[in-house]
Amino acid sequence: MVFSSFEFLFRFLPVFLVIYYLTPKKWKNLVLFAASIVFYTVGEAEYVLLLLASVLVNYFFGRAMYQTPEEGRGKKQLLLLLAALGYDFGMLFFYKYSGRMDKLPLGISFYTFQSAAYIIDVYRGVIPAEKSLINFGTYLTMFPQLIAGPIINYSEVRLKMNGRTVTVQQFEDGLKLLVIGLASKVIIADRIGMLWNNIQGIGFESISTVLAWMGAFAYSIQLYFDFLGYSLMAMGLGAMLGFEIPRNFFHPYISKSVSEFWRRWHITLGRWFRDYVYIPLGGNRKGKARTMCNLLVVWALTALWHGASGNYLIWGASLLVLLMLEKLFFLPYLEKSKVVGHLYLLFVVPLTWVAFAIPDVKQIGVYFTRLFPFFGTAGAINQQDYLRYLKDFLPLLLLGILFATPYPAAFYKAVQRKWLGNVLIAGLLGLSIYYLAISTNNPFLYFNF
Amino acid sequence: MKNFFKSKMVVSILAGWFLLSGVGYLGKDNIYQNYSVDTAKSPYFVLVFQGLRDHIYPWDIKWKELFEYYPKQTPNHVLAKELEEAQEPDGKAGNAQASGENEPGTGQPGTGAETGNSGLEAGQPGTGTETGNSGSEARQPGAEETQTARRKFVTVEEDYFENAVFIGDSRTVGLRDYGGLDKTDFFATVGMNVYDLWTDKFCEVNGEKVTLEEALSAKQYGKVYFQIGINEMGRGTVDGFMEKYAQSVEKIRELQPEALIFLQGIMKVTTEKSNADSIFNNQGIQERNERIAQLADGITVFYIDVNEAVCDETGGLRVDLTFDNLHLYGSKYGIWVDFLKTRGIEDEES
Repeated sequence: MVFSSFEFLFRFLPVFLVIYYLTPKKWKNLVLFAASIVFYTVGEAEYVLLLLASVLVNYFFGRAMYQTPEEGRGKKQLLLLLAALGYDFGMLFFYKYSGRMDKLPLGISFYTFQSAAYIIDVYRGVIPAEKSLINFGTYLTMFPQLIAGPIINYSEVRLKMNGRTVTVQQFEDGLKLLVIGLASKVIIADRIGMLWNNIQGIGFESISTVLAWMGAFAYSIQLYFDFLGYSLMAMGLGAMLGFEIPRNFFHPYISKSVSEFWRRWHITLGRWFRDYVYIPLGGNRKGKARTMCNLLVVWALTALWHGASGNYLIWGASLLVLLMLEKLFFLPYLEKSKVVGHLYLLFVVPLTWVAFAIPDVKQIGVYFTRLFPFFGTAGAINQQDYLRYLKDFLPLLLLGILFATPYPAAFYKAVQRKWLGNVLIAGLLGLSIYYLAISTNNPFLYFNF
Repeated sequence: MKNFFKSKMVVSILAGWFLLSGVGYLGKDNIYQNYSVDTAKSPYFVLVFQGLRDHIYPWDIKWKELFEYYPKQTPNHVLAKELEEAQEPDGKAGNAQASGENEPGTGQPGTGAETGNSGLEAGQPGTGTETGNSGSEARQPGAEETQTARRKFVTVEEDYFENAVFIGDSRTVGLRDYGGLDKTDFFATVGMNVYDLWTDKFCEVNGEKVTLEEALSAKQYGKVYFQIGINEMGRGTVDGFMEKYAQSVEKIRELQPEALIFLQGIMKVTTEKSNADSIFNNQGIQERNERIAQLADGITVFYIDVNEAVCDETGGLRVDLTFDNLHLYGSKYGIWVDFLKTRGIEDEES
C-alpha cells in the first residue's frame, strides 16, 4: 500500500486516525504498532514475521546489554552488540544479496539500519534500552517511515514514545505536508517518469543525443520528486501523530559540489553512514590516506545498500571518484565559485543517476555512447525525436527545475498559515487526486499507445 | 478528537470528500456509467475526476433519469456481454460458414466462385479461410480455389512505399520514427483509435494539423496501410469497434478510390503481459484481427498480419523486441518494414 493511493489516503489513513485519536493516550502506541503491522501485511504478508522477529531480537538484545545501570561496557556488551548486528545484517544480506530470494522483504534496508542504529546507541550508552516492547515495536515499524524512510534514530523519538500531544495546528501542518508530498510524487515525479519510460521503450541505442540528455535530466527530476514526495509524506504523517520526523532532503540540486549534494540528498542515510561508519573509522582526522580509505568504505557500503547489482557499484564508484577528487583538489574552488560549481554539479549528478537507473551494465554503456556520440552509431536513430518529447515534457521539466530551487518552499512558508496557503494546498490536493484518479483506471498512463 | 473539526483544512477535506462522493454515487449509473470504481479501495469521487478528464462534469447529470423510475441501468460491460450472447447464433453461423470454406468440396467455395468477383461478397469466402488459420500457408489454397482474381503477395523494394500512407496509433508512430521510410506519409498519433479517427486533427499536412478526411482528400495515394485497434480494447464492445472500423475502411475507400488498402492486424503484446492483463491480451487482439481480416477482399483490400514476423512460439510479441511489452524497440522496426516488403501487390498491368 503506497501513500500515493486512494486505498491508503481514503481508506487506511482515515480509519486509523479515527481509531488512534479515540484511543486513550496509554494505548496509542499499541494502536500505532498494530496499524503498522496491518499496513505492512497488506503490502507484503509473507515477510511480516521477519519484521516482527527483528523487533523481538533487537528489543531483547538491547535489554540484555545493561542489566543494572552501573554495569559498564565490557565483553558481554560487545558480544551482545555483535550478535544483534550479526542478526540484523545477516538477514539483510541473506534476503538482499544472497540471490536465493527472488523478492526483497519490504523496507528491510530501512528497518535494518534503524535497528542497527538503536543497538549501537544502546551499546554506546547514548540511549537507555527501551523497556517497553510496544514502544520499541512502534518505533521500528511505524508505518509513516517503515517502507522508504527517513531513517530515524531512536533518540529522536524516544521522549515522544512516552506521550505526545498534537495541537490542531500541528495536525493541520502535518496534513499540509502530506499533501505537498503527494503532489510532489503524483504531479511531478510520476508524470515526468513517463519520459524515462518512453526512452526505455525506444531502446537506448535508438535515441538522439539531445533526447539522451533530456532523459538524464528528467530522470534526475523524477527520482528527486519521487523520493522527496515520499519523505515529505512521512514527515507529514509523523507530524499528524505528534512525531518530528527529520527531513531527508534540503534542495540538493542547488549544491555546488558532489560533497555538498550528498549532505543534502537522503540526509538520514548519509547521517547513518557518518555516525556509524565514517566517524568510528576516524573520519577525516587521521590524515589524507585514511580519509580516502574511509570514504571508500562508506561508498562501497552505500552502493551495496542500494542494491547488489553491478550498476550500483558503477554508480557508487563514480561518486567516490568525484568525492575524492573534490576532497583532494578542487573543492575550495567549487565552493568559492558562483556559477561553475552549479554547472559542474548539474552536469555530473545526472550522469551518476543514469548509472543508478539502468540495471544492465552493458546498457549503461550504450546510454553513454548516446550522451557522448563520439564513436558513431549503428542503430536507427530519429534525430528529431526530442522535439516530440520536448513538447510533452517541457512544462514538467520547468516545473521540476523551479521546485528544485528553495524559492517555492520559502514562498509557501510565508503564506502557509494564511488563506492563500490553504487555497494552494486545496488546489494541490485536488490536482493530485485528479492525476491519481485518471491513472487508476488507465493502466497505460505509462504506456499510452 | 472533536478539536480536529476546528481545523478548516480537515473540515473542507471531509466536506469535499462526501460531496464529490455523493456526486459520484448519484452519477455512477448515469453520466459515469462507462467508468468503474473499486469501492473497496477507492472512494466514489474517483468517478467525478475520471469524468473530468473526458469533459464530463457533475452538472451534466441527467436529473430526469435520476428521479424518474428507471430500471437500474445495466453497466456497459454487462450489456456488451449480453449483446454478444444474443448474437452468438449469428456469430456461430458466420464461423460455420468460414470454416466451411476450409474444406474443399463443400458447397460454400463453389458459391463464392459463382457469385463472382464482385466486391466484398466475393472476398468473404477467401478471407474466411485466412481467419480460420491465420497462416499464410492456409491462405494460398483458399485463394487459388475461390477465384483467380484474388491477387498474390509479392516481394517488393522500399520504393514501393513511396506512394503509400500509413494510418495508425503509437505503433505506427514508431514505424514512422524508426522504420526509415522517409518518403512515406504517416498519419498517426499516440492513443489514436477508431472513435477519434475522423474527428481529431492529428494529421500533419504542410505543417498544419488537419483531420484525416482533409489529409486524405489532399493527396491520392497508391496504398493505404491501416493499423488501429488496441486503444479501443476495454472500451465498448467488439461489435461496436468493428462497426466503426468497417465504416472507417469504407470512408478511406471513398476518399482514396484508386488505392490498395492494407488492413494490418493489430500487433500483439507479449505473452507475459497477455496473461496478466484482463483487457489488453492476445485473445482479444486475435478476436479483433479475425474480424478485421473478414473485411479484406483480396482484390483491393488486403489483410496482412505483422504478428507473423514479430511473435514467438507462444503466440505473443517476442520479448527481445520490446521493453514495455507493447511497442517495438526503435531498432526493431526494420522487422516490420521487412515484413511489409513481403506483402506487396503487383501492379495490375504486370
